[in-house]
Amino acid sequence: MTRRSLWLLCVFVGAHAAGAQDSLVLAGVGRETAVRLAEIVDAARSSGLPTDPIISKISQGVLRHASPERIVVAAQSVATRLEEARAALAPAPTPADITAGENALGVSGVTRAALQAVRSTSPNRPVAVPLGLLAQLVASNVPAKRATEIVTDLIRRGASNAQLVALGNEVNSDVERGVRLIASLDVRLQGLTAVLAPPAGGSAAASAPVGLQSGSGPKKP
Amino acid sequence: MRRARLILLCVCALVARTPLHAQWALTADAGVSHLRQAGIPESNAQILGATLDAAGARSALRTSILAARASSDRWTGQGVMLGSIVGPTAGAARWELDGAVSAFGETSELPTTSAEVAARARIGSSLRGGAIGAGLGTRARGSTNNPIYRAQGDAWWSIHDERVFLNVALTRTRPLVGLAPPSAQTVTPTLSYVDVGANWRHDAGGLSIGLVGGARGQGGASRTTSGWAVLDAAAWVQPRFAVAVGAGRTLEDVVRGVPHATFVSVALRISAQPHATIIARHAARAGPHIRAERVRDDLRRIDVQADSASRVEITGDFTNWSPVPLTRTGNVWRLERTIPPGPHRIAIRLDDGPWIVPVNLPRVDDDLGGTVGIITIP
Repeated sequence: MTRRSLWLLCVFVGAHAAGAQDSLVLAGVGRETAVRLAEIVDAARSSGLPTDPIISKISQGVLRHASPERIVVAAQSVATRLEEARAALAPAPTPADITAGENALGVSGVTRAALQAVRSTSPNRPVAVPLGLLAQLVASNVPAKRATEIVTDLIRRGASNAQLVALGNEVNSDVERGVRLIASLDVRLQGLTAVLAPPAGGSAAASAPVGLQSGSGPKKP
Repeated sequence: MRRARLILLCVCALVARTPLHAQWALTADAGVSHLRQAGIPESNAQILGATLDAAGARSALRTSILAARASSDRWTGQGVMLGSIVGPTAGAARWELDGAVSAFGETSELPTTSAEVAARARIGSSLRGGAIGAGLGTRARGSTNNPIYRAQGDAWWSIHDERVFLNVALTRTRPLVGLAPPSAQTVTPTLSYVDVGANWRHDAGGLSIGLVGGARGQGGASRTTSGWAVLDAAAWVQPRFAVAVGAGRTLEDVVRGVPHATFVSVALRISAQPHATIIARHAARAGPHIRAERVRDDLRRIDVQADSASRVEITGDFTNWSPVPLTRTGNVWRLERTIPPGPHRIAIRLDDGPWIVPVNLPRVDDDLGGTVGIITIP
């Protein structure tokens, strides 16, 4: 891919449809394919969907010298997932949440129902990072149902974005060190939920001091 | 006693009605404690205890039992069951119902039992919040029953691996006067006291440390103030085995009939669930590793560890798949730029070689017949 072609590809990002098509043609994508891709982007833009993910996928396809047909199919897949993500994260998801939702749906095993579960647990807050953890866990071969339960439970317990990301990183690091995935999840979740209160009280355990101690102490207040 | 049974039934009904998730934890401790406790000579005791925690979406149950055998063949045993259930959010607050039942006994003494229920209003989240409420119950020894009245306020705050909990409780009851019930002419004085306590817990990297302390002010004819403090720590040396130590001074648990004590203990702890250990067990797989963190506002930092490379580039959806070179900073290759939080697909290249996925990222299909890594940007 020449520097000139790359520059022309960048022009496509904000260009008028006709100009964008010319950019793609110069980048090695045939005119017919360029028309189809521009239609996909325009249709998404018209329906109020973010178009950056589609343009990014087209860029990736061009830079990887993928066949035109493959680029069109990939771009259409992204557009479809964007629509699905918007519906699943309704009402009124932000463009960032829709983009994150599309990315998550692109992981085999992540379903619309999983996105809905995350959204219903956190109806008024951004969900991009929890969706990222969901996608990472499913991509790591955690069963989708279990991954969804983990993410929604952590949201309910008030885990911060930093804690969610750290959990994903720690699990990934454990797995690449040879630790079994489910064992790593159990270990890391125990460590994280030990400092998160359960959704219910739990504060009764720290009421009056208990007379005879074995050194165990309460695991969480 | 009939009231105690009724309260126990209410607690069980409240907790049992709420279906429990698979979130549960079971530990058992076995060890020794050097103990100085009211009513028995200073001695070494063998101790055996177990704690079962179960938590559902809106409920929690903790059951703890502890038995100790002092060198003088004197036994004590205690059991506590604490349960709570939280209602759905209504505005800024949620209701909570708590219940507790306990039993304490020692050789040659009548056992003491208690049962309480309380209602509270909670505000905030599991990370930061507070609650205030009141409750009542009963405690019994032999044929003597006394009511318990309690008002309580709590606050909690979590930061990363630290959790702080504050508690104020006003308790009113009557002393348990022994075998014979008070006669009609006997007026048993009311016992009132205020406990103010703080609890800090650190739990990360296979190490769990907790510190509880507070003070009690007792009113009435014999006004007194006394304090307590307990330090405990557990180091997980194996995923299911830890060494647990503890030391401290506890006050009399008036409600549960547990006398005050000073102790030092060490125990082996066994857990049904695995824990992170304090010892790193496996060497990292060879290959580049990647990490992302938030620097401030929109700025994010990506670090790639690739020791033997002289040039590292990254490509991903946030670069529109154009290669972007990273800058060597110390022993990592670094990129700082604005990246939206959430999942992103990336690949890296070392020394103009093929595009690869860092070894610590899961791989996903890229819709174009290849694979890329997926990373979550905070």
